[in-house]
Amino acid sequence: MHTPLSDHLSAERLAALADDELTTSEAAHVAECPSCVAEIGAHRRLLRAARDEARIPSVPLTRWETLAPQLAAAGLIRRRATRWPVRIAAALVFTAGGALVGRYTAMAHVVPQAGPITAEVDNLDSMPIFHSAAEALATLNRAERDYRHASAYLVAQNPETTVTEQRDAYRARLQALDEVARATQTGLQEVPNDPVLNQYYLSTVGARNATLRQLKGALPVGYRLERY
Amino acid sequence: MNTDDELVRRAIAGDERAMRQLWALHAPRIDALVRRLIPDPDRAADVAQEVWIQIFRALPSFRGDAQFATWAHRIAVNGTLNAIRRAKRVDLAEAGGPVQEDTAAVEPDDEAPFVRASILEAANRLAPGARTVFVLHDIEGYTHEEIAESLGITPGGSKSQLFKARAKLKRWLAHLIDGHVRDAHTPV
Repeated sequence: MHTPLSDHLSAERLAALADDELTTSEAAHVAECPSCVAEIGAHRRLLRAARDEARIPSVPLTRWETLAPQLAAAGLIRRRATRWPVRIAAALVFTAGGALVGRYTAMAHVVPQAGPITAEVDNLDSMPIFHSAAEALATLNRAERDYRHASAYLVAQNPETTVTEQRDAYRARLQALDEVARATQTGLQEVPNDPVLNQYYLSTVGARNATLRQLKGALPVGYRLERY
Repeated sequence: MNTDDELVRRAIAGDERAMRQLWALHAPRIDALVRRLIPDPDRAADVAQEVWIQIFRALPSFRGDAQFATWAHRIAVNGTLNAIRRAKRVDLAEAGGPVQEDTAAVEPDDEAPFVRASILEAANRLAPGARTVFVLHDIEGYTHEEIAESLGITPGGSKSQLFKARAKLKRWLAHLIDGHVRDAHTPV
């Protein structure tokens, strides 16, 4: 069917043809009507402009600082009351760091002190004095055992710890243990036979492996751990 | 880097960091949708906030069948439309009936083109129902069937609204998009 040249397509039909196909009769008319061709072209450009609008980056209307309290009030954000495992891991890093500092401080008589004496020196009087490496290692083993018991006790006292929180804690602990391992390794490169550093390094690696097992145990069945 | 699925899993457990990451990743698109549907900036900001609470509240129902972005976008569409309904800015019950001409208060009598106006600014001058259909179809890419379901109208009603909206926008933005158009085509 042929549409007379004077019988232009309606405004709505021209708008529809922005993303619709011409019928046979419409195609016959449009083939001879530059005006309708121009109208359809304008609508298609308008549609392209609209589609482009969706790709224009937009500054968010919301701010997390405003949204978060409302999510918390709705009970959707769960604040953590206690994070004992993370604190324990942080304490371990601190302890290991202290061991390294202590090791180098012990060597400090070779190098003149440049800065002021820190507050830690004041606590030296209360620290145990060892007369042999065996005595120091025995104390270290005892402290390590006490640490493990204390950790287990604190975790058991925090019944609100969810599986997700446990996993987060294990990940944080692994990162902390890695730092300890790296620190002790660095120390051992300088003093490879130092018994304290060796003990710390072996204990750290052991604790790391144990934590990895715990982390795997806290994962869903069939979940393959590739990183933490 | 965490995927959306991993973030969703942690967010369901109430992990604020994961929730914040999801928000940061998707807020530009979600909030832009709300802004397009609700021209008033203050009102849009309020609705966007409501929408995000709805998204996080509905998170446990996310099955992973669709992408999180698609799922969240759909919630945002419905949440925004509900907000519009509540505000009684559009009578959606009439949207399925014959398309009404915009009132003089919405549509300018003169046909001066919005030479410097963006397509969104022009769309904001459409009647709310026509703007909603135009935004959802031509900008956001929803089908007429999806729009009809969200608005409670027929697909034919959605098409009719859209074509009317397009015709008006083309007229208003003529200097930006037109070639040489004969007077015979100027809409009455």
